[in-house]
Amino acid sequence: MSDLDDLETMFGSPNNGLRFQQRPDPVPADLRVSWRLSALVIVLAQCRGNTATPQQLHLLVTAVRSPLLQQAILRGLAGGALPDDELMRDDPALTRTIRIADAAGLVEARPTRIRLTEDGRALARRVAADRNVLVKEKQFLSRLPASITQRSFAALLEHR
Amino acid sequence: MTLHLRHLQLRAVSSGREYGADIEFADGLNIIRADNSSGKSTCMQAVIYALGLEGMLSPRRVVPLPHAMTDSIEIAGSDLPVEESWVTLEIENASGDRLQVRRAVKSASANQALIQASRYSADSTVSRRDYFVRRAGAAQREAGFHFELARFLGWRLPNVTRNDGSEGTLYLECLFPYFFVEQKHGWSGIQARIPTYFQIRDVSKRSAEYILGLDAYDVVLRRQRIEAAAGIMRTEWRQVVDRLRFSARSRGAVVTGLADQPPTAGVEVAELVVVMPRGETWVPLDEEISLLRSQIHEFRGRERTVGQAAPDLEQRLAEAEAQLTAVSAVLTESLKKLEETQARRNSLELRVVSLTEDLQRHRDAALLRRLGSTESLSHASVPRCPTCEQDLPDGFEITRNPMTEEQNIAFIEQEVRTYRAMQSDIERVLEAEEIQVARLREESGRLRRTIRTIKDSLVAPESLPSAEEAAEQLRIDERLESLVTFRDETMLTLEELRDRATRLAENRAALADLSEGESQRDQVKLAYLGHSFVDQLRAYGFSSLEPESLEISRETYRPIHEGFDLGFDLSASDMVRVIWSYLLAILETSRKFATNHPMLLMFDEPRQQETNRLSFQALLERAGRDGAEGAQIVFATSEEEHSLTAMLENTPHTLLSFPRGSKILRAL
Repeated sequence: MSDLDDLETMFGSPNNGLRFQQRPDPVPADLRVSWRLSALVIVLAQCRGNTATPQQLHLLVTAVRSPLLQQAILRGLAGGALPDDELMRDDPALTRTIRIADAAGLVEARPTRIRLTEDGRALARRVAADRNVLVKEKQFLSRLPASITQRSFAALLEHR
Repeated sequence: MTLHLRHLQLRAVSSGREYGADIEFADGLNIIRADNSSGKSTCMQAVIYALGLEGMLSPRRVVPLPHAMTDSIEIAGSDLPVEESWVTLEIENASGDRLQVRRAVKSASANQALIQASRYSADSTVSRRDYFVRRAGAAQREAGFHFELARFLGWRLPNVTRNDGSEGTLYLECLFPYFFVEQKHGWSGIQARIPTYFQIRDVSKRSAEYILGLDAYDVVLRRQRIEAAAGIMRTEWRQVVDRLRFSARSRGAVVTGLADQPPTAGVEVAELVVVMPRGETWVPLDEEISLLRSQIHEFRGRERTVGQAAPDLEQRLAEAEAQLTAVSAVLTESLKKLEETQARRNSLELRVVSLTEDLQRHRDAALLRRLGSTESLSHASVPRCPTCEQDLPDGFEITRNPMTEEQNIAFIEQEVRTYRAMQSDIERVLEAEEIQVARLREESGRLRRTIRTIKDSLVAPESLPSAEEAAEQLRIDERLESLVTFRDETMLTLEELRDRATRLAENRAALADLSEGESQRDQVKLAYLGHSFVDQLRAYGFSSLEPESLEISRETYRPIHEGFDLGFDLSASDMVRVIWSYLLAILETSRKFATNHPMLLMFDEPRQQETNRLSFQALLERAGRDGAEGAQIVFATSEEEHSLTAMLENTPHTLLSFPRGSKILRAL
């Protein structure tokens, strides 16, 4: 009998005690709800009037995860963008995060702008106050201008 | 080995008048009674300050005394500026010698680091000397006060290991928290105030071992020394290995069998095998050496003129050109391989970096969840979409059944380990490939030179000696000598490594010989300590847990319950009872056995309000009994006088009570 026959017999018999159990899957941490909501609110808290355009958010939230993009943004804001710096971003996961945050009452989302609510501000303050959490992310945000206007970002994206 | 307080004097000068307090201490139980904020703690802290021990309270360099001693003193309702102030303390040791120390608090002329000491020996000789405290060397140098204080008490302060592996003294600041509990923070936990900023490894354990005079201490110290020696041996091993590798690389050879770490006990150091690349394969060093020898042999006695050599030269030219073509092809191939390996290494590096970032984000995600970032979604374990009421598990885009953050962290850590192993593997491959490429480049260079010199020879006048042959012979000679030297070096290194491995094995054996368990004497001492501890818990009405279920850890010498440190499971009042019991139990153990305890215990405001009258009375009785048997115990308390007198009725004691509404510091 071949191995294949053996296997077929084994799976064929009803009482072989073979069981399948679903094991949990690993998930990238930036897809964890707690992480993405927190990243969203701390970025918004840094924007002027706690309000940002979707474009601006896609760029900044992607940047808190990517040191390369961070450098490109800082270069761009300082007026020294390199010819091959690629800044336009669109992350479908962030679009969903914004919708969840809207439903959860952390932000108020309109098609053209997203604004932090009082609850969202409170969460942002808590995250900002804890020195052990999102250390690198906050470091990057602290290197940005004190409050980011939509105009400065439009300029960053367009004048290239 | 005793330290008993005799006399404390506080002085402050304002507008030419002296203010202050004098307190006499008797043997046995001393109780200083005064109202809250009347200066009790000032007196207790002044003892610590006079002995230069304020480092046990905080690493900051501030005077641990209230403003009455440093700034302004309140006399009859008005604040007078303090112009000068100081503390004087007299202490006595076991042989009846007395040491009087004076330390300035505020002074225009005297530095706070200065302690002026007068020693009155039992045979009535007097000696005076100035010492320094709170500066580096205060515990090690002759002029350091803590060096002198330790000598006065008969303490030989042991060496301990610091966090960085170096050795240093166990400082007095790390011992006194066992004899002095201060009011502000001292009652929050057992040994809440052992200073860790000295960077002494396992500091509270080392202090307890020294105070209790445990043999375990010696064993630990010896073990630490042996470990430190082993650490040095391992580093040296690594240096020897690196040296040989470097040497091999510079000759285009690879040594196999070289381990970065010395082998574990009982394993022989492997033979070293040296191989050299030849073409696409590797040959042993010995083979390369004999090949070079036979080439030289061929040249010997064959010095010919160009004319004689011409047919040979032409043939060798053809051979060399064919070889060069072959070597170039192999070199191209090897370079491609090397590039691929480098690319693999780079992508592995990127992978490890991104995994490390992911790991940090997972830790953040767990923290953020605890910070309440998902609270608005649900109070259940899985967040819910407020609109459609469906579960929103983490990473819902890719799975319905995500790992928890903890599982995910463990998973990534495992992955990082795997990738790290792959990285070190690929580094080794890379090194071998680099050597191969370097060797091929050298080979192709050599062939080009050969071709050039053969061509030069062929166009030279026929009667000249063949220059190419001479040059080639010289090259082979040099290479042969370098390889023979390297072979000797390899053999010497192998011997050296074997010798080191033997010494390390001896070191490991010595470590194993150190008796693992505690000595018989230690066991008796610790059993007595545990007994006295539990006995007191019962007497003081400890009720958070069954007193018998508490014991003294053989690991940390602190009280534990079912293997865990005592902490949040205790009520505040029971934590206070545990501290009373533990510190008195250490003192009682020291009365019974030979230890290094100074038989002094000071409690600043023993928090009796948080316990109850019966507990406090039981504590006073126990302390009175210990005091009658040679200990000096000082309690500062704000308990009402009539209630104290009632509780102390049958207890030997000395009571120093300040009337209601009066301050201890007053005009003299």
